[in-house]
Amino acid sequence: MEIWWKKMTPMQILALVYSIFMIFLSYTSYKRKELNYKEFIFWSSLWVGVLILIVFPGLFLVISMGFKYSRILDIAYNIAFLIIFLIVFQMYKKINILNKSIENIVRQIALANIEDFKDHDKKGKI
Amino acid sequence: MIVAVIPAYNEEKNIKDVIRGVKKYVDTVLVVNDGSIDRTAEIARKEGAIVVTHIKNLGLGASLKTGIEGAIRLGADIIVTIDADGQHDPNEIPKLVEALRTCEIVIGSRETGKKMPFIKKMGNLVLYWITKILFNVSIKDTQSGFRAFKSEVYNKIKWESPGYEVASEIVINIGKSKVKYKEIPINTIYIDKYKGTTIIDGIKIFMNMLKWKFGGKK
Repeated sequence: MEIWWKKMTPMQILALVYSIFMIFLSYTSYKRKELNYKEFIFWSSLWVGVLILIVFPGLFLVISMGFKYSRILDIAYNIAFLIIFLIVFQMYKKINILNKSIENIVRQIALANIEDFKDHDKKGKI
Repeated sequence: MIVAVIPAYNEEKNIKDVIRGVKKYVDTVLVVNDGSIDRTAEIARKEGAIVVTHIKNLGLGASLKTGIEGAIRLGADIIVTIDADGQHDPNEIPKLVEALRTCEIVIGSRETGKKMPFIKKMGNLVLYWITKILFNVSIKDTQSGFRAFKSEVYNKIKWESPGYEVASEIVINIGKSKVKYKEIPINTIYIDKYKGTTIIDGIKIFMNMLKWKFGGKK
């Protein structure tokens, strides 16, 4: 049986180790409750997918031929761009929500004791 | 009861004169100190105004919301909004309040004579036409901060914008809610021609208008 890992390039080995490390990091983040279950499944699935493509780069060829890409790396770049845009969009939405929450809190603090001033105008014109 | 709402950000130089001018014509002056880092709040309190403070600067729209909601909680029947930079003449408050006999909201429209900086004149003209075309509202000075309205109108014109774009959103909400409005000419004093809405703000306002028109504004 071919020892497939002996055919791997140093770059592939490095990428493989990194992917395994990221899966481990996702798992420990989940255990420390920094990620919820859905987030853990999402990130670990992503890295398992990367791991599979590293070990079986021929899969890239099948995908790239299907989408008519001339270079295998181009498909990786495009997928990465799509993921980055999705993350940026989600961050934009979260920032908007956060801004709104901060505004509401600051305004509530400002008006917390406004009723105490109800007598202010009854003392006559200021 | 008439309450004047003055949103203020770093206006220690002007706030004293503004409050002294305004308090002759209203029952209560409510200053919204929008995270100022100077003595705006201290000076306003010394002049007898009620001061509420944002611990962080939020912008004109948020400050107006705080001030108006505060005024309503104090029992205001009529609310007058006026800028803290001394641009508006407080002696015209009675003119605005009087006009409320025949409408629900009055907007003080700044004269576009020689006094108004050219860039503001052009900006106002552009925004007037955009508001008219997109929302069928004919208000010449959409960016004026000098307004008077009955407190029950607030829920009809309530806005989301935290910044300078609030002025346009109020005008648009007036149109959408079919609130009875009037526009009356007022004098304007231009102390600092660089202050106020800039070209960048104008572009942001235009983008917001498109969002409000086509983005399903509630």
